[in-house]
Amino acid sequence: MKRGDDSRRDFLAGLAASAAGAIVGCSSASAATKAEPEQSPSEHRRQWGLVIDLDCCARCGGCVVACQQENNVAPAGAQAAARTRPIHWIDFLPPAPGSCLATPIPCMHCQDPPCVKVCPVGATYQTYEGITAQIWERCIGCRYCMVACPYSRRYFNWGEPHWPGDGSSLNPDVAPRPRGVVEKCTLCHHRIRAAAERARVDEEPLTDEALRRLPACAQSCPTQAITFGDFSDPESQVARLAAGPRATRLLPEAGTRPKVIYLKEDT
Amino acid sequence: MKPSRAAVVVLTALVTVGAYAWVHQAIHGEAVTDLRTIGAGGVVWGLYVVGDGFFASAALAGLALACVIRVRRLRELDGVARTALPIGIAGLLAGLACVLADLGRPLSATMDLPLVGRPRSPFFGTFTLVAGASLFAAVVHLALASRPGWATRARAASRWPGFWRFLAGGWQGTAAAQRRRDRVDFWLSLMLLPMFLSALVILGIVFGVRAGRPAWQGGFEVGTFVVSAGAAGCGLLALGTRASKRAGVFLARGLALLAGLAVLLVVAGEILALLTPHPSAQHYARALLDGPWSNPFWSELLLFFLAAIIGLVMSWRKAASAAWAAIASLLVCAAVFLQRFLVLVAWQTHGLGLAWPTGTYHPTEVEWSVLTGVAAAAVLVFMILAVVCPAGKDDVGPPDARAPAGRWLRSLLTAVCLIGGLALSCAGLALSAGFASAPFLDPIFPGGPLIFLAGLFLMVAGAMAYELIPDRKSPAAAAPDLPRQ
Repeated sequence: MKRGDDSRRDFLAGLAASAAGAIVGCSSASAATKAEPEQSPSEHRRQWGLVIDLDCCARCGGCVVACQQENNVAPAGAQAAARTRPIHWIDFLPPAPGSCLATPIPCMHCQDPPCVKVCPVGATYQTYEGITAQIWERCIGCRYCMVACPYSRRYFNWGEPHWPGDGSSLNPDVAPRPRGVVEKCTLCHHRIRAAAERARVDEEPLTDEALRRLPACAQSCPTQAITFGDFSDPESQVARLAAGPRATRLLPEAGTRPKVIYLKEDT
Repeated sequence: MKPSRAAVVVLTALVTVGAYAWVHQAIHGEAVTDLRTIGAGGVVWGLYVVGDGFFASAALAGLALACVIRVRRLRELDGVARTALPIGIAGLLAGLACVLADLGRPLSATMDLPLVGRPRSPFFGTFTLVAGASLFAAVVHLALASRPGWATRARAASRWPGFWRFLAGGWQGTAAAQRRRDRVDFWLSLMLLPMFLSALVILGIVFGVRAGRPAWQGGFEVGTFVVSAGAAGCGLLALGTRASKRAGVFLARGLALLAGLAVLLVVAGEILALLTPHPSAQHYARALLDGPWSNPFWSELLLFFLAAIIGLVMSWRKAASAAWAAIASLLVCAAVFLQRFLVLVAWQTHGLGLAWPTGTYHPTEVEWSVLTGVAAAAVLVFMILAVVCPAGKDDVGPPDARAPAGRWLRSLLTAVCLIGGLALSCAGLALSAGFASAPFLDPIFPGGPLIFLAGLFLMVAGAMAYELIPDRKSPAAAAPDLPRQ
């Protein structure tokens, strides 16, 4: 009996030790995982976004063309375009009733993006810098994100993409998307990464001035109506513009808190 | 029920055409459909998702109704509950086929969903609870319920008696075995009922709650979805069951009640959408009332209304005519299909929040062919299951033919399955939810959804363990084995 008690005690002690080990192991694994977004603790958590001045915008479409070229967006072709299947990461929203001017509309990179919530495989996710990003290879093509997006800013590759010529005009920094996946604006994430890397190598800070015209749409805008920057930095130009009286958002009632701010005088 | 050869030939031809259309779509991409970019004048979810919503919801509603019948132990409705299983399996398979036809990359989906599926997406519930666990549970339930019939067939069949004996899984036809059968029926139904209802509500959420739509309307749509699914489930059961008079009246009453309720909910939803100050809701409501979608909308209401009236008359007269039951069933199924179509498609064409151009949607012959092929395949599967899984009950043997010896192993295995399954499913859910990892990272341990699904499967397998493990033979009273051919 005594021997039995001892062995049971040993067994329970072993069990407790194993459980404690497992908990410690899990905690350290979780700590390691959580540490990843804070790899550079000196940097504050940036929140990238755009400010588009509708009073300056000439509706020239330069941003649309530049975006297509920069991000390897395949031209739709006559047949697909006729069937309303062209892909434009930034497009023009037709004028609302009572207005006569179209609105350039990229992905809103919402702070509370519904597309991220509904993606069943995590192909769409929010980076720790607030960009609503997409892993093309992960996407299963269910198009739930397209249904969920209140701004309709996502595109599905209905057929195999084709580029004119031998493809030498493609940007090597951006992966082309295959048939059957959803794609969207990335705020030219590759350019942001490259700028951050350059700043790190040069041991210089990433200044607001260097960022303002970073994405292709902002760079190509002849009237400088599009400004890019970090909303979390109160000194940045985008933060100051967004705090101004002309600032407005699309569909505020959707509760998505978009990080693309429009500037326009009240009419 | 033995299917006619002509019906099998026609159905097989339709399945072949559907398969050809599917292969055509797989080669050329979804450019061969009329699905287009949302906001640019098209819809991204069309006939395939409508088909999924119809088949899967009707199947789940039928299965849930069968569970209620078993839990309430309504013996006179056993035939209805029994028919719900093959109908449920066929419907869930059809829903799964529709989803696979709709996906841009179905192969990636079969790999990624079990590995990195996210529970916060309603799709997680549809592929784990609807396509996975519900289907498995229905198959297990059907297999267990068919054992007496298979045992009878093993005794009577001139061909493959060994095969039928194997399927019968050692069914002895003793009173103890029958008691276990009844107990498993009751407890399995009690366990599966919440799962089927949850799966139904999750499907309703996919259809009802969408961005740009006011939240109250989405919630309202979930209720309409579930009620109309119940009506479709009753309709399919009435269509598939050679019901007794009592069962026929029961189904007619259910059909009348649910179809009538669906009419009320659809009308109330329309009125609320018209009265709401939300522009997208008003635009959508106008499109249904007197716009481009008015014909399907009024047809839907009329079909629901007619089905409710026929069901009401049959239940009033307490006489369920097979022909009228079939007509009412077809009417209600058509109404539910239209309801799914309108709630899904009309919202994408006319319910957008921004000033995008209104859209159109005219499904192509490829889409119609695939959907027809899937529907035909579902009917074929139902016919095959109805033939292969007989509903016959075995004669119950002497009450004390088996001693209670050996029950501890059965209890132990059942408990292990239930507790282990619950633990596995909880662990799988926690892992899938990405506990201990940042929201933009993958879960630290991939495969959480698979573990969750395995846990659910194990819990259902507990019923198999309980029923299949035989009593140990008592030395005093050994029951006769199945007679050999």
